[in-house]
Amino acid sequence: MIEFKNVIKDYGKSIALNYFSLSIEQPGIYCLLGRNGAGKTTFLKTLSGHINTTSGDIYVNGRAVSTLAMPEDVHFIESNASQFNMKLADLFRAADDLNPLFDYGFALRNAERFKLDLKKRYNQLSFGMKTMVNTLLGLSSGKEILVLDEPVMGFDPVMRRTFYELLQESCTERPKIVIVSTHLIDEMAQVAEKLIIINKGELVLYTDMNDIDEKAYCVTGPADSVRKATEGLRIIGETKAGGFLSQYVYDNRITGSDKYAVSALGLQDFFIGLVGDGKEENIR
Amino acid sequence: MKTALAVTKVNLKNQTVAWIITAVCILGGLSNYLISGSDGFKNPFLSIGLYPWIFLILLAILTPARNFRKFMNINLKKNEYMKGCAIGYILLAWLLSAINLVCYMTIDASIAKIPSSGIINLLDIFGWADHGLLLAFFQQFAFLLLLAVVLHSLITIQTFWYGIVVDVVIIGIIVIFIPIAPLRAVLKDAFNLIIFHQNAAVQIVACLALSAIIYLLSIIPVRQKRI
Repeated sequence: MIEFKNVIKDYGKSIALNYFSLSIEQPGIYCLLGRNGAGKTTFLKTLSGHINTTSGDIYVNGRAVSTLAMPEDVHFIESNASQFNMKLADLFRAADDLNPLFDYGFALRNAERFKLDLKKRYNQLSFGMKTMVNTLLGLSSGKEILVLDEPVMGFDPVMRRTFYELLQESCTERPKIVIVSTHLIDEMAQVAEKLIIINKGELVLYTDMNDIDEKAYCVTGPADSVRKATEGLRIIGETKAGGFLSQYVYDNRITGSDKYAVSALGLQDFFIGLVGDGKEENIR
Repeated sequence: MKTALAVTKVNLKNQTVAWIITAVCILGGLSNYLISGSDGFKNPFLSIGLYPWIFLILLAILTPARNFRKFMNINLKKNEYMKGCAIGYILLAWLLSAINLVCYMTIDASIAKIPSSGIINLLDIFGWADHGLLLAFFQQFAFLLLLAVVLHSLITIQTFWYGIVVDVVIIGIIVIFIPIAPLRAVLKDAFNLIIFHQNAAVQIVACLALSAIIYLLSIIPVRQKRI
């Protein structure tokens, strides 16, 4: 279980996390979204005990987290993390020696699946392959909580699809909390169960993916009709084209009429509506 | 313990720079032997047993500077990292002390028989050989361990404000203490304690105690260290 209580983290004048509170209890895949500089990596690093908070408390399984007390149950994987420049077979063996929970068989099986050459040294790999090795090290670590920062960076579409399958298999095989920070919103939406959106260091949204499917939609039509139809609803963004208006709504669904159309809102559009430069409204 | 030993193994294996520099220095030392040998060993030269010390020095610098982060990326616990490093320094100090002693007893001893030959070994310079070979081995081991621990700790604290303070203090001690006679005497006493002390047991205990204290203190910055 993960708990953030009023966490503030600043880097001098810049505030990365601002009274950030969040509680994660259930195993599952959590998609972490936010614009660049929103505080995602700071959130992940404070959770992993890689950096300290300025104030506030973080608990993992009831234990306070800090750089003095890095949580043993958490494995943080940065896509560009540097590793020992060993042959991959030796690197996985070293990880196995260094971590009693490491699943060496799982690592080897999936290295083969991703066509990783175990005889190659880490520094000889392409950026995408290095990312895959880092991700495999994390997924094989046997930890209860995995924190992945941009895990598909540098992956081609085939690798990305295999990665999402692997993520789901890994969670089915051994339930765990997996928090994935990414910008590939719609792809991640296929596998994530919950969504966390951060903006300007604050928690903007924390909800079930199903909730988004049900409550996030777009109303399009003549401006007056649309405004009338969405009156009292939570509007998270809007676009205008001539006399036509599209409003992005996050609220109870309304039915379409001959005056306006109601359509599904993709996660990417929902995200842009929520944290883009347009109309913004915090939803909790 | 198994994990700590694995840390030692991985750390020693991943010291390419240190291995290469040490190998180059040893080769340089061997060629120096050949050159001095052709001259009848009349020009003073450094004992070959001292060259492997370079590896320990580089290990103590490169481990916290380069390998710490890699260990953390592989999700190692910080206390296992500290244990693994300590085991590495102890084993290496032990091994290097033995190597130098063997060189001192064999190669250096045979060269020393040549009239007016000049071979330099710290066992003689520091006066450790005067206490007998067994004590000399332990004196050397304790000193090497202290050297490794001090370097490891100094590099570890460099990312903290107090690391800079320690650097300034060390430079200050060198600059201020040396020219002023009473302060110079203090400095002399300190070096006397860890290197030149007439009583070998005092020197060994002082080095081991200081190593333990400094290493235990260095756990604090390691635990505070950002990744």
